[in-house]
Amino acid sequence: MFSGKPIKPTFKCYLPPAQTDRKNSIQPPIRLEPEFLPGEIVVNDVNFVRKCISAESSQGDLWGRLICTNFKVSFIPQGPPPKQKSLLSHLLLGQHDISLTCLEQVVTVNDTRGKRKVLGSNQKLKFNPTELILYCKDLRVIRFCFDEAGPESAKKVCLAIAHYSHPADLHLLFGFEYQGLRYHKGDLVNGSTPRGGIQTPVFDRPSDWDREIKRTGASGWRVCSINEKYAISDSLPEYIVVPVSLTDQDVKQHSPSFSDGRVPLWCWNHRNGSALVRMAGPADPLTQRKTEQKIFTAITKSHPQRREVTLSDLDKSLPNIQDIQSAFVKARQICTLDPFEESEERWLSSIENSRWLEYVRTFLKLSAEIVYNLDGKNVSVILLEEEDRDLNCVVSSLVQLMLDPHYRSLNGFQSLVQKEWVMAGHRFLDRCNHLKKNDSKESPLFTLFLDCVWQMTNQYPAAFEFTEFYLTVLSDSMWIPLFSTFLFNSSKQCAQLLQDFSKNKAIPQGEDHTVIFPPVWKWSQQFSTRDQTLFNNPMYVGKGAASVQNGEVKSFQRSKKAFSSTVRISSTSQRNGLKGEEEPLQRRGSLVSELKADFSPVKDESPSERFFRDWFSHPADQQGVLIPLVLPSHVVLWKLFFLRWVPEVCIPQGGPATVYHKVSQLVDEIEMLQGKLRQYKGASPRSTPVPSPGGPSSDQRRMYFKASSPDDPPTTPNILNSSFPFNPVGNLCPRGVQGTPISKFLNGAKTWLSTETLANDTF
Amino acid sequence: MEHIRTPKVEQVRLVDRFSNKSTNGTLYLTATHLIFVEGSSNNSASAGQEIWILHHHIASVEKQSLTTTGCPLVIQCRNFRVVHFVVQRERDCHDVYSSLLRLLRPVYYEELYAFSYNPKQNDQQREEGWQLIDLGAEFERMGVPNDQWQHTDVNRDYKVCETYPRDLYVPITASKPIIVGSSKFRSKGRFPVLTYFYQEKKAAVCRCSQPLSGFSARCLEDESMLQAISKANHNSRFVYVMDTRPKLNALANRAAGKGYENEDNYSNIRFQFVGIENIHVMRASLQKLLEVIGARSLTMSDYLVGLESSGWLRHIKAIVDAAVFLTKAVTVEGASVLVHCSDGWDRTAQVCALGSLLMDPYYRTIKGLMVLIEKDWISFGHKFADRCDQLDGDPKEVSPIFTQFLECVWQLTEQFPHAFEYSEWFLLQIHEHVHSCQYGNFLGNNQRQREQLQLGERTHSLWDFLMSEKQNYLNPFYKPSYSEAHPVLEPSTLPYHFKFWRNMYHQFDRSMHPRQSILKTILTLKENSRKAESELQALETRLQKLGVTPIATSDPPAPPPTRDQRTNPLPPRPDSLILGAPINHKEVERREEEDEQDEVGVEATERTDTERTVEGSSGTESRKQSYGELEGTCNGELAKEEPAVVSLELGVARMTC
Repeated sequence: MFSGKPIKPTFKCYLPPAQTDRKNSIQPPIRLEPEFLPGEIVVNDVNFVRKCISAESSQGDLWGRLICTNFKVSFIPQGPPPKQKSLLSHLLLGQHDISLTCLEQVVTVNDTRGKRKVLGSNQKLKFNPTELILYCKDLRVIRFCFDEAGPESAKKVCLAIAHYSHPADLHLLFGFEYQGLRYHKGDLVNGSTPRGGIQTPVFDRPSDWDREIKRTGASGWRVCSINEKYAISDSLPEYIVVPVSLTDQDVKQHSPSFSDGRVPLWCWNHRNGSALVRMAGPADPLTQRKTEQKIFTAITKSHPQRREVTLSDLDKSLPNIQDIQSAFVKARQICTLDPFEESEERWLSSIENSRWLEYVRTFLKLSAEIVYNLDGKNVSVILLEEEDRDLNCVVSSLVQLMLDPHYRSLNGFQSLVQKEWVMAGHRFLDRCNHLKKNDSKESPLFTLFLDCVWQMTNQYPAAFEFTEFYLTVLSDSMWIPLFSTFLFNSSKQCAQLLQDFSKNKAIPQGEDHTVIFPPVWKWSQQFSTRDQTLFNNPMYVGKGAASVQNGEVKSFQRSKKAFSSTVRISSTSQRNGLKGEEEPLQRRGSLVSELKADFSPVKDESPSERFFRDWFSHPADQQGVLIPLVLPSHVVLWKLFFLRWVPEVCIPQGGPATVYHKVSQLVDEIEMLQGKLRQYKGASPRSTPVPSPGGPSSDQRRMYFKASSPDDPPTTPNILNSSFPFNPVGNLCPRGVQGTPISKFLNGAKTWLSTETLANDTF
Repeated sequence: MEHIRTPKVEQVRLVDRFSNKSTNGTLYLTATHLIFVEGSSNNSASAGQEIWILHHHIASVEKQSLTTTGCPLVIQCRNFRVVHFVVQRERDCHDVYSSLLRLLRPVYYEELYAFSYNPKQNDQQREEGWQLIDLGAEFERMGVPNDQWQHTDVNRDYKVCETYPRDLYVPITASKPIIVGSSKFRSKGRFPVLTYFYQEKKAAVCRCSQPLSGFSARCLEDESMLQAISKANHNSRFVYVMDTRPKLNALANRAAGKGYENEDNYSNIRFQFVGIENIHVMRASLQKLLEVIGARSLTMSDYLVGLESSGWLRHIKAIVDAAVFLTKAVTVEGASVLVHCSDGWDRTAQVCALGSLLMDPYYRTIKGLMVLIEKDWISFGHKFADRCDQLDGDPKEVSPIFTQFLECVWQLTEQFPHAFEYSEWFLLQIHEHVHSCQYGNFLGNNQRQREQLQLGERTHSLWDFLMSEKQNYLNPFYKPSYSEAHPVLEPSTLPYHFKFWRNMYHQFDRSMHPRQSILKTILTLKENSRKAESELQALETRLQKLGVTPIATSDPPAPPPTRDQRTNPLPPRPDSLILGAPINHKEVERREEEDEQDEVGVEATERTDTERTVEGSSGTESRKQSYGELEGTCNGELAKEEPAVVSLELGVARMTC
């Protein structure tokens, strides 16, 4: 905890010491103390700050103290805590806290002088700010007013926030301080190793890969440790899976032909033997053809039927990372910033204009095509992308999610992200732009992936073990710099930085010189056990997970019989667009009469179309292949993610949460009843395969909402609304008081633009 | 039937609208239905699929030019089914075409299916069916008559207003001369009458048509009428007058001697335009919507831009907005509201009905919705015959006004999934029968006409039929206790919350529906819960018989069934689009045999032998058959608590069997 002693230079502080001198600050009548994490220090603070709650009026605004630490921006409201507490209690961040990493843009405004400035690192501010607007990466927009605060202190806090949210170096992210200190003191939660308590394999050791090979029955593949100590590639994991026909020497020899030495990487195997492989583009065009040929041959050899491989060039068929970034920026703008009254009429076309949904659809569609190749055509597929670190991550994980029910369990999903994103070297550091250094590298690929997953869960509500809440907090976790998962560009960078850090921190001799940096998968870091039950989808039935543990996935064995052609494709096509001799009989201006039906088969059905049509004409087996419908009407906006902070959108006492509530209660009741039944039935052979723990006591129960006992009033809790379990109050206040010139400017301002373009934009 | 030239055509190909799937079969033409039976020739498992199309459902038939494979015949239905046949011989095609041409243009009401439909009920049952909904009792439920509102028999012979019902409710201070005077000043004589009474605030929702005010005309009786409505409510000093039209339309009407109330002439009114478009705009909008969604290989952009430019969701939003305004005026301000449009039977019906549904939880129950439709739509003279095109009439009168109302309700059920006793299948089924002309309820344009047609004696009531199937329409998320705590719904009307209603407009396009649904899953869960419970009870009784006390556990006692479960025993499987689970007998038997084995994945890919898609047909017979198919779902296998594979595959549109 922060004590009175002067700030030790444990964290590099670029601000002149005068600004960190807290003696100047006005002593508040009540001390409003924030909660600090180990290693967290206050940089600056100011009192009598007003946090805006509503965009329209200042009614309900909160007064309190605004604090900038080396980890977060914290606001401590005065007075008694609100009656309706925030539902979720985040263990690292309070209701009014924003981690510095989460800040997208820091904007200061002087309302009276009509000035406004986007603040970056080490900048000066020529005016005293009357307002501070924080645009956050999790789509919140939070506004503070300094009408009653000391102008100098306010200015200092703003500068401190701006400065600390632009760390000069990755080392300066709070995570290092925090985790280093925790290690130092040895007060780790549970005193565990980084793996402690996490069931998710991290794929940093051969055994994780081995298990995956066995699980998928990939007999033609083996773990190769040629990249230990990152000998052949900086961005590949230390252990990779290659065709058995390639020796370590072969791999080493082929490696220089590929960008960054990235030899093709095995992702997953279908039961039918076809494999999913990802590959980078050529580094050396001269040797490329030959090398590729050898690799393809090796992959073909690993296929039980020696099938030729199919190459899918993702760069050619998908939007690039800049397109995706600009689509996301637009979608975000539409959902959180554009005034509703004006966008109402154009809502659909504005969302269309962002192209976000179109991209979501494109990715799903392409992934489904690859599913067809693997499952329907039984051929191995190589995903080709220039660097193999962006689009390939999205597509390979989506394909596996569609094909393998294991990845639809919580642990399976986490291992998928670990395998295809973290270990495969997705540049989280650059794409998240944690250091705010290079905006052109920023791109929300992981968010796009989560949106695609959400679309799948939307179409198959019972097939995934996790909820959309889980997906949302997973995306939020990208902006908390305490987890190794989203901080680095590659596992090598992670290892390297941690080593450097522990050297600098002079960790006592005799101890391991690596700082432990747990992944996000250790959810107890962020949420209580009870809050974690919100991850559980009550409709999911965890059979996939059960059978996987036995090393046996029968799931994606679809009986070939099911594909028996029920329908012949008509080879004859009718001429399109020709009017019949007889005018269509119209039944007197009826509604549909003027529809020009377009029924003639436009083109011959492609084999993949036929595969999908066949697949969709059968009942879906959620333990088998799941293919999403990708017609435009099936791709919809992920409301919880995009709109959860918008108070106007929130439906009190309504929304999907009410369904979640009801289903949870029901499932909880079923689990209790079954527990009882098992007790009565004893050890009958029938009941043994049931994996759930016998007689779940109330704190072990998996549902957030428990079945109501007859004594409880059977009412819906008042907390339910369409933003559940998030609280939109005060988290989205982009607009100033209506009518003032500055508010109009703010409404029209493209505030989400990059800092560079607006950095010196004062007037 | 003399119109049917060829009752049976063989080797007809049915082509799917969105995929290139096609099936061969035989086309039958009966007096009431067009039936397609899939042939068993193509030895596929799905042989036996049947599609029954009621003639009344057919909106248009189009015969396209001959191709090498045959002569295409495209049929578009009012329930948004579109079928595309290819008939091998042009002659056959022409016969079917010209027969249909005649069959789907009934001239007299007596030609409608309702007059020949016989669900094997005796006269007494039929009569009881018609007595199910009693509007007098409904007004009593609202607390009318009371000290401010009274029943009037001024219209008992339909003399004051032809299109109103006989029984009307007006303020006690509205004397007969005032009523008659007011009715003369209102378009079609539709003077202000009570339609809903909000007891808590003693505020009334009244409805009427536009005044014949022109540019300057006044009517003292009409002014007194509004004064009387105002006086009947002590909570508020004024009455809101909601003109649901866009201002421009109202202004244009003034030139024709109609128009809207002048605030200067009426004391204590607050006038408000709402801006719902007229029937012609709505008709065009739906047409555009159907064009957009009917197109193949749409891009995301085509779809979103097309959806927006059709304006359909905007119109839906406008209606909900108006209903929210009405609700707020009544429940928050405690003011009475008079709603009108032009004639007061389209937009007025939409707004009054939807407003009442927001205010009163009763209308969110199955019986309540029937009552609401009976009151605000049927009895107050929504012109179902014209709007739904029951007879050969004026094409400009056709408009999807009632469909919009059902969609508004659906949008609300999406926002408040637990506030409604009915699921969307209830709404779809009502929509189906508004157009089927199979029951008498919606025939004709007003009560007077219905009496003349003696519908009560010659046809059957839909409400009776729906009530008998109530369990199929129950919403598993419904929480009656919620309504007690929050009687008034406060929906959000931001555009984000208005969604395209796929299950309505793509009802019959099997390939458009996701394979899994929350609704189906929760029904399976409920079933499991019930099974577990009864098994538990059985075991406990057995233990007691054996003299053993049940094992005491540290757990809290297992909860008895939740309240709503106790009152609503689990329904048999409904056989609707999504709920209809494709369970086949073989599977059930096999499950019983291979108790231990877990073969769900493989079984799921199998199909039932018979598959029926029947529309608007009479038979409860086929319904029973589907039930039989479905009963097997509850095999008492508790270890397999997972829901049977969820799919709507085979259940498509069984609703109307």
